[in-house]
Amino acid sequence: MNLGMLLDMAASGFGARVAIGSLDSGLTYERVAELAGRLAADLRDHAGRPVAVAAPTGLHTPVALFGAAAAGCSYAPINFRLPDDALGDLAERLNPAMAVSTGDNHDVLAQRTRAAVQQADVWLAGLADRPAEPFAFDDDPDAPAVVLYTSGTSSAPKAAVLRHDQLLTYVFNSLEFGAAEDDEATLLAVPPFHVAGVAAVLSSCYVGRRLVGLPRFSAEAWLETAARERITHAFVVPTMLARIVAAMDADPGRRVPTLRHLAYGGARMPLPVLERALELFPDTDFVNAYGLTETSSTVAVLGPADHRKAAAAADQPELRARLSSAGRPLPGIEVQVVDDDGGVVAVGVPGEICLRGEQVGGAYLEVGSRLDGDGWLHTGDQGWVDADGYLFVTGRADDMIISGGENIAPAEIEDTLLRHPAVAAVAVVGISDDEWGERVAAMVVPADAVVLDETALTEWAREQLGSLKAPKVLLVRPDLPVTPTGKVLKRAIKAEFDAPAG
Amino acid sequence: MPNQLGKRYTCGTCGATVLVTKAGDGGVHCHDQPMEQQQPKPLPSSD
Repeated sequence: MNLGMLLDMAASGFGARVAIGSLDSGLTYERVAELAGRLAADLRDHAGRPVAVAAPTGLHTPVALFGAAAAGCSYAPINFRLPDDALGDLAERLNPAMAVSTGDNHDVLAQRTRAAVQQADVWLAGLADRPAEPFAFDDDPDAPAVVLYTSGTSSAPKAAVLRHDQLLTYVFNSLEFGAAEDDEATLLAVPPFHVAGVAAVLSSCYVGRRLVGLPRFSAEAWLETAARERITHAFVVPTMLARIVAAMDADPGRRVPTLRHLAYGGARMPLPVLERALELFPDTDFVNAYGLTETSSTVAVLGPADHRKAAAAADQPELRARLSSAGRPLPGIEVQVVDDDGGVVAVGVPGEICLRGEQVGGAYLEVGSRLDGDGWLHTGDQGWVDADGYLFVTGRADDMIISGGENIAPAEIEDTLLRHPAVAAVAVVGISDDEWGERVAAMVVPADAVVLDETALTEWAREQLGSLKAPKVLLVRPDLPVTPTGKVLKRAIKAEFDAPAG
Repeated sequence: MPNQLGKRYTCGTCGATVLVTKAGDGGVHCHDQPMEQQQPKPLPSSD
């Protein structure tokens, strides 16, 4: 098995459809297979080594992914926007056979690796001018197919390795070949080095849905591209949806009537953002996708029917609560919640979420496998499962606040503060306190054109949340620090609170 | 019945499943029986 199978099937099943880009200037599946065949021929002597791609999603993306995979090389997209030193470190650790650059980061890739470095557009044009090679692929299911640096919200980035069989299990267990209508198009707003960016290339190829990349996210660019490309499907992380919703609220003329399907994931979705999005996209199917880099992307989904049922159940708190659920596991995925001693907890009891299944990787470059002896991946995510098997993810174990011996999840506090009209975004952390161990602190981004009355907000929060959970300290900032994949950097926020005043 | 690209077939006896990655004129058999075509399981797209 090789990821190349997906492209081979697409090229023979619906080769004339546009795989990536605009309808008038994109590449068809047949064309992607031709170009990937030429790349694979170039890489044949380098099987086992990565192809590092440090450029935004573009026409080259599926060519690089499937060409590398076919040759038995791994596809390793890295954050192309990092400062030179950091980008150089990541590239060097990969020891790539070849690297693709934006142009701007060409020199650092050339200096820090022994790879041949190619500028993305020049390289693609060069492949297009060459004689045909058949698209043939390697057949080692255990070989590394994709290498992805994890986001490193709590530690230095680790390079997660996903094998061909793991990624293909995800595709085959969750999708039907050629299922897309011929007018469907996905807008890919997450960068290519996010696991959802990799999964989108594989899934869209297998179902036959055109992929449109968004080189740099802004709410305006997302809305404009969605309208121009008649986008039907999209995946966003919560910070993106918050900005899209705010932009739509500010301008009632900005709507995306073609959007049939909106999936979200990558971090916890604040409930007020989701509720407003459901109102602004009344005819769109919503899907919450929970997954990790290490699990070949999605392992659980809350589907459109669950969203509708929960949204309509304003007076049934238990059903309504499902809106904050990650839904039920995909076929082939087992979920277990364990306590601090590793014992499996009862239904409804919170603990650490553990995952097992054929699509679960859990191995890293330089480190090896981190699965436990029974094959479980310990995710570091806190959560619980309800009586009907719905998974609730409350946050990272590291983010839990312990104050006066009580465990406090930041999620509930964040959702409450976000309901205040003066608050556009918020992150809640625990900061050291001699008396209480930790106390609750909040970094707040004010809504547009609002001068935040901090005393009034603190007082309001105490009424809503009680004195234990209400923030004791506020910092007002124009933006929250986030990773390039949209996760809020709680470490950086804690550091700001801990820094001496001034 | 010819193989159809991308369709899955299951053996009623042993449960083995095959996915057709190249279309062809032949049929798929297991335990001396033609394998049955599986119906798609509708799952919402998550990316």
